[in-house]
Order: sequence, then structure tokens, then C-alpha cells
Amino acid sequence: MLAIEKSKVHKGKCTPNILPCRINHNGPVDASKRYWNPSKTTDGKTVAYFRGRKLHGKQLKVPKGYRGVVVSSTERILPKSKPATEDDEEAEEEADVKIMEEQSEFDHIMLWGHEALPDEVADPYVRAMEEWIALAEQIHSTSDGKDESMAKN
Amino acid sequence: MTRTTKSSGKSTNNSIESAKSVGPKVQLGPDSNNPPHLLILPEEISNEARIVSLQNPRFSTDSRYVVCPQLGFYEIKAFTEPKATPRSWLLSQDVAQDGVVGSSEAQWEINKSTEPIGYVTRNANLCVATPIDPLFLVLTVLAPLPTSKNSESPKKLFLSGDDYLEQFSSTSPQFRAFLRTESIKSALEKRMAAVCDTVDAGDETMYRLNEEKLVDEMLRKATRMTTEGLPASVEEKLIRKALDMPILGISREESSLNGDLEVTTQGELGSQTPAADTPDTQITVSSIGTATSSFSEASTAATSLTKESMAPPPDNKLLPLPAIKAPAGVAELLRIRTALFFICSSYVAPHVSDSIKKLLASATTTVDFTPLDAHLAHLAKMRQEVVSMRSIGDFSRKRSMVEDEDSESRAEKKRKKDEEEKRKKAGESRGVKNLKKVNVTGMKKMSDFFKKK
Repeated sequence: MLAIEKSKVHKGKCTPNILPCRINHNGPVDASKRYWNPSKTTDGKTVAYFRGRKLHGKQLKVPKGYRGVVVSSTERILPKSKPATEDDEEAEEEADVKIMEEQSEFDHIMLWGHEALPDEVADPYVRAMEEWIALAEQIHSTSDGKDESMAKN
Repeated sequence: MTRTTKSSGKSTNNSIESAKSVGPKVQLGPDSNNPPHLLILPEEISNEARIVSLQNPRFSTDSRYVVCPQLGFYEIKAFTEPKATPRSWLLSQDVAQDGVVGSSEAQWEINKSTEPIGYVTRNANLCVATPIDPLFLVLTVLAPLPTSKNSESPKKLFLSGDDYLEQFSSTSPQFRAFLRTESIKSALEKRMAAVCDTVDAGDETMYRLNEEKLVDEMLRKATRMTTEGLPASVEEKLIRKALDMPILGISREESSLNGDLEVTTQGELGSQTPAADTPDTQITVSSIGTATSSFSEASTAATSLTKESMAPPPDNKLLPLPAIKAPAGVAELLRIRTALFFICSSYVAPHVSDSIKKLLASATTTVDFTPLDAHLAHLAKMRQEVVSMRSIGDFSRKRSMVEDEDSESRAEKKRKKDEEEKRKKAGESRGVKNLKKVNVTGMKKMSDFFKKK
């Protein structure tokens, strides 16, 4: 079981970029302006150069009502808030709650394609952000609209 | 620290070493074994929300869910890059787009001194937490898998909500922490009530699954999915394709069949003309419907069709999304059914979804799918007829339709084989190749010389 908690060294907002290549490394890098500097062209397109290759970017906004977070798992265990009262034996059964630290948050991601814009419809990330969230809400909404759809039938 | 305390000779050594290690301008730290995850969460999620593993209602394995006492249940779906196009995350500083460059610049300056500002991860996984109807989660205990095959499903008993939840937490132990959270419990019981017969026993309500109610509930969900329109990709693949009239195949024949056949069947065409007044869709149905085994009749249908399809301006094909040609309501029914099957195949255990489908077929439900079934059967028949008609009528083609469809996969296979051969050939030297040509009949095998005597 995991709980999400804001890190003490929360870095504020960040921009997750999906690069059209694999970088075989996990770890911090120096993504300073010198190496990564997306810019807008005059006709409104977003362009960046990665190791001399031209990438075209498409912004995917996190849908309304949601927010993106960057979390990393820790070994810290959430201190149990409730004092163990009459049902001691049940409290013992409860598993430890580990803490996921929220490192930073984001409200959009950038999807990059090499020399061309990524596919607007079929790209899995576009579908995740734009299609799936809306569809899931429709599937699983439990209240509202019920009467309306019943009336239709 | 060592440098200051050690003798002067050693300290010079050290300084050289450190100078060396500075060599490459940017040094990559060691590979982190705990890379961060990117997660999209509901905005107003509370601090008491927990990420838990619960039993997946469809696959009976553990999956991650978010349970929030205030907002309810969310499932976490991970989206990964396709294997063919590997991708990675690069987390960078938020690009200040609305002119707050100064502040981000300042922030960067601060960060610069402490640690690098970017982060790279090998896999571009994105986890999205989307709402899930807790009904699906408790459905596993409301409709448990029958334990033994031959026992005619034993009479289901009314059980209290607590009993069900207790059962549920025995398969998903991490849920136990929420058993005493009142809001979670009431939410679950409310959802149970939607698909169950209930009996009040004292101060407790007892529940028992009612399958007809369950089907109704699923249908309601499916209808709701279609009111907003299915996602574009689903609409294209499952609705449009399924209802596609097999016209394209016939219009191809325009070039090959037009000439003499039209002359020979002119007389018969007269009998077809009344049909020509009805809208386009009707024509394709009726004329192909009459196209039976006889060759001449089939070609009549074909020619009358070519005339029809030539008459309207051909911009019909250029439109990105032509209207679906089907009797009214059929497309809507197919959408509902597609949505329903999607729900069943992702959230409902196989044995339950089977019984849902059975109930659907028995037509006691609120939505009647018979027009859809009839139309689909009709389409299937039409497709078959068009294919057979083509293989008879199309003498200009040497290969049959089926072969044509296969040819793509065949070409693919051939290419693969060629590649393999090439690779094999590249591996052997010229000497070996030449030796292969030598006639070895009657010669002793090399291994004969090394046998024990």
C-alpha cells in the first residue's frame, strides 16, 4: 500500500518530454538551455533540437480535473495516525503504508516526433490523455445521467 | 579531506587524478535503480487516498488502484511506448511560456548549484488513474466462480454488505484498511444495491445478485458511452468497418466489365429500373440480393451498380467520413454492443460476462439487438456473394481474391526468408562455399578417421 506525499524538496512544475528515441539511462541529467531548448517558430509550431536532430513537438494537456505528478518510491513508512484502540488485533493486520514522494508536478506533456509531428490519433500517449480518460469517466460514472439514459430506452 | 592531511607528494598525485576525472565535461551519474514514475491523478484527491493492490475483476490478478475516501475508486492504467518505437522521458524545467522567463531563469540558477535540473528515464511509462465503478470490484464476490462444475449453480443466498466486503478483502488483503471507512462502505453498498435484490433484515440490508439487473446496469453504461460518441479509433475500426457495404469491390470492375456486358444485358436491365428510384443503399442491397448463382444475373447487378455509382459525382469517396450506410438505428445498436463487449472484456470476469451475453441473446432486456444481428448477417452474406461473384465474373484476373489477400503476407514471408538466407551466406567464407560443390559420393566421412579401432 502506498501513500502519496509532497516531498520537502518539491521542485515545482516541470515539463515531461517524450523523446522519440530510447535513452538507456535512468538518472539526473543536465537539461539546461544549452542542451534542450524548445522554441516556438513563427507559425506556432514547437521545435527543439536534440543532438542536432530536429524534433517537432505536440503539447498534450492534462485533462481538466486531473493533475500530473512525478513520484518516486521511498522506503519510508507512514506513521500510523490512529492510535490503536479497542480493535487492536485488526490494526495489527494492517500492512505498512509506504510513502511515494511527489517530486514535482506538471500540467502538460510534450510529445516529440523526429522531423515530423507525432500521429495525432493513433499515438498511445495521445489516446491515453485524450481518449481514455474521457471514456473511462463515461464507463464508470455511477450517478447522474442515469435517469436520462433510462428515459431514452 | 584526504588532500589536506596527507603529505605533499601524495597531494599532488591526488590533484592530478581529480584533474583527470574532470576530463569529460558532463559526467553522467550512476544508473538510478529507483527512477521516478509519472502519474496522472484526480486533482482533488485527498491525503487519505492510498494506492492499493486489489484483485482485478477481469483477470483475477492483483492490479493497482487508488482508493480515496472522498472521491472513491480509481484504477491505474499504465501506458507504455510501443515496442517498435522506443521512447524515453526527459523531464525538463517548465518552459515559461507566458513571459515569466526571469523567474524560471532564477530558479534554474538556484538548482544549478545543487543538482542537475533534468531527469532521464529509460522507459516512457505514463500511469493514468481513472475512475472505476466499484461495482466491478465487488462483482467478483457477488458472482463468485462456481466451485464445482456439475453442481447446478447452488441457490444463491442473501448476504449482508459486510459479509461481501469481508470476502472481498480476503482476496484483496490491502482493502482491509478501508473496511472501517464509512464513506467507502456506503459507496460500495450503494453500487451493490443497483444490481442486487435486497432484503431488509433488522437494521441490515441483505444483498443477492440479480443478473437481469446486472445486464440492465451494463446496458445503461454502454448507452452512456455511446451518447458522447465512441473514441475516433474505436468508431473507425469497429463500427465503420463492420458496417461497411462491400461496394468497393464492385466499383473496381468498372474498368474490366463495362464494355460488352452492358450490351448483352440491356434487356434485363429494364426490369431493374424500378429499383433505381430508391436511395443508393437500397440498391446495393436489392440488386445484390437478386444476384444468385446465374452468371448473367450477377453481371446485371454489377453493371447496374456501375451505372449507379457513376451517376453521382465521385466526391463521395473524397470526403473524410462518409455517412455510414445502414438502416436507421443499426449503427447505434452496434455502438452500444461494442461498448458493452468492451466493458465485459475489461472489467467483468469471463463466467459473468458469458451469462450476460446469454441473457442478452434471450431478448428480455431493454435493448433489442435483433435488427443489428439481422443486418450483420445480411452484410456477411453480401460480402460472401460479392467475393464469389467476383471470382466468377472477373476472368481478367488470374489470381483469386483470397490469394490476393494472402499475397501481402506471402511477400512478407518471402522477404524474411531472403534476409535469412543472405545472413547465412554472409557468415560463410568462399572456401567453404566452394567446398560445398564438391561431389563427395563414395568418399569416406571425416569422422571415420577418428573412430576407435
